Amino acid sequence: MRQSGKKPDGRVALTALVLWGQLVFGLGMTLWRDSLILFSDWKPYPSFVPREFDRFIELAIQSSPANSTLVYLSPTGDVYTARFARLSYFLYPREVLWLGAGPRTTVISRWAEVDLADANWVRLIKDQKVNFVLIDDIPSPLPLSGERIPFDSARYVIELPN
Amino acid sequence: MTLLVMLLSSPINMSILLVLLSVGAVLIVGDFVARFLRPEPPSFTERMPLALALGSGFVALGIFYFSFLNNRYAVLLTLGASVLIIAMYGRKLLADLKYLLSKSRYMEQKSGLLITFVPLWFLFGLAVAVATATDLGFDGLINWGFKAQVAFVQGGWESSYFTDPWKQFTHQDYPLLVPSLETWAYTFLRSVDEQSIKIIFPLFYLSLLSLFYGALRSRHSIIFSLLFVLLLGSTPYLASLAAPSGYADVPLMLYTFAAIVFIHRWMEGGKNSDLAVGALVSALGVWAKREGIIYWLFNLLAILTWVWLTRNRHAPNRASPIIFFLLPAAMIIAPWFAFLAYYRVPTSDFAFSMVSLAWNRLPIVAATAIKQFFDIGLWGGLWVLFFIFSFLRRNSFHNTPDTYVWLGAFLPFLLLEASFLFSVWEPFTEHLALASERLCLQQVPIAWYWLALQSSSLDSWLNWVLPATFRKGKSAPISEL
Repeated sequence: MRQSGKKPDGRVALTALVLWGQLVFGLGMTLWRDSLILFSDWKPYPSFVPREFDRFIELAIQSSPANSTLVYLSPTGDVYTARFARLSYFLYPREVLWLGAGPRTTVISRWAEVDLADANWVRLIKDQKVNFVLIDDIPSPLPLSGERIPFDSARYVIELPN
Repeated sequence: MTLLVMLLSSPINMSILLVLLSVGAVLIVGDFVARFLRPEPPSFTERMPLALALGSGFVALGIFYFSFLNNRYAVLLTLGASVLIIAMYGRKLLADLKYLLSKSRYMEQKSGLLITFVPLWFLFGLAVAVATATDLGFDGLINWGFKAQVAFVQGGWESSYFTDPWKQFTHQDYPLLVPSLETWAYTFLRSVDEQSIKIIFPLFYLSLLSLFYGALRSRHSIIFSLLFVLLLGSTPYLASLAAPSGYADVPLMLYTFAAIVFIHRWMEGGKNSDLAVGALVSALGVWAKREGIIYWLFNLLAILTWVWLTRNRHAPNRASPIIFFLLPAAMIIAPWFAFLAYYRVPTSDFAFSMVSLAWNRLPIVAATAIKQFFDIGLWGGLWVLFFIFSFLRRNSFHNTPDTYVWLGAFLPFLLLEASFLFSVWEPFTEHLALASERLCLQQVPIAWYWLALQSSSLDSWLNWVLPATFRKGKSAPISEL
């Protein structure tokens, strides 16, 4: 219902003041958070997908057959974590990376902690028909042999023989 | 001309234009559906959001249903159906547009529309800037993004995609509206482009604000409506976190809020076309996010209650509103749940059985819900205001349509929080922490809408305080504005 203008009581003025305060606060918070996202690289809903690893995936995709399986090996305390990912179905690098570096274990991601001193670890990898392993800051020697492909100054990829 | 050529020659800008073209097609199809339900077109500020909501639903349902015929060509078949609709309806739209453009007073008023909405364009522009500076977010990439890519590459939805855990390893039972819209845009782009697709989500945010403005404008002055739409648009969580992200929260908000508006209108005015629109958008909300089913159930309960309360008024036709509401559900919701049941698509996060019901979680769930309402950093003083107004208006909660809006502002959230009693996460508190604020977010436009409905005297005050330019009356623009 449209109403004509008339001078109301103080409560309405108070409501207007409170709403004005809310508007100023809301705009202020919005601008502050937006500036964090725009200028500080803060992510409200982080995807835990490091952009740098796209290169690893692209390298593996270019160098390996479509049905290869990847492993990303990284140190976690005293043991090393092997994360598997099946490559063939997935369309773009990020899917593989999510499986490889995702925050939650699923049946597919097959998170497995391995002790590099245990020779069974090698069999575990080979049983999964793994072709490529990205080595991240793991001291050599490793019980793995294969063609070594430089990735960056700290990491390399080993292509395991069939 | 040079600037236009420069803009079009940039690959990114060309991609964004193609995405906007895909959305344009959705709008035309959606407007056609809206006109079918409601021959008298609403104001422009309501028409565009309705078109987006209904058109997106058309695309999602089209790809889904055509996938049963031939999943490899489902997207193309949907595109073909849309082209037919655009060919039939597009000419009428063009004729309407030519007629309106020929009226100089209309053009003068529309230019006023652009100036009045400068604050909204600012908020929208901010959302677009933030969206392009960040990625789609976890769900936007891993949940909706995966689905969209698969549907694009495969041409539709293969049943094995839902049943093979290697193919869809997470969020298997999540609905398909947002990924279908992304697939639709990818079809226009002819490739996957997760950068250009980001523009779609701020468009839902703009549509929500536009619908909110239109809903208030039908009852109140321009400045009152603008004040409240800015309050909604600047709600901290909505503006900076939800609107630019690739999550389905804001699309769902459009559907749930549209349902509230039109069902509320039906309760007040009794027009079946309002109920038809409300029923359709409420059913489509289930396709935006799983939470949509709780809002649909809430609306069903509200309609049943209203029909019973007004039984003397509508004695011979008591069943017809209920049938009106259930009909879209039979065509939209039921087939989706039947599909999930038939293929035994696993639910990823909840096990709804009495065996898994954990009553001992209730204190934690209740405390989280209460804490959520008082999180100033996310909502400002919205919920404090809401509860204060609720207390002050406690004597008016009887048999009024506004009570429906009031209940809609918090009851579905409480029901959704209660669903965490069935969460399968260990610990479930992690699940609750991740989801709680986004569940509360859905209530925000409804809460602001109810507050606006209770603040009619503020409208009078604003008209008394502000210059004549913003008042209603002789100097006010037409109701479309």
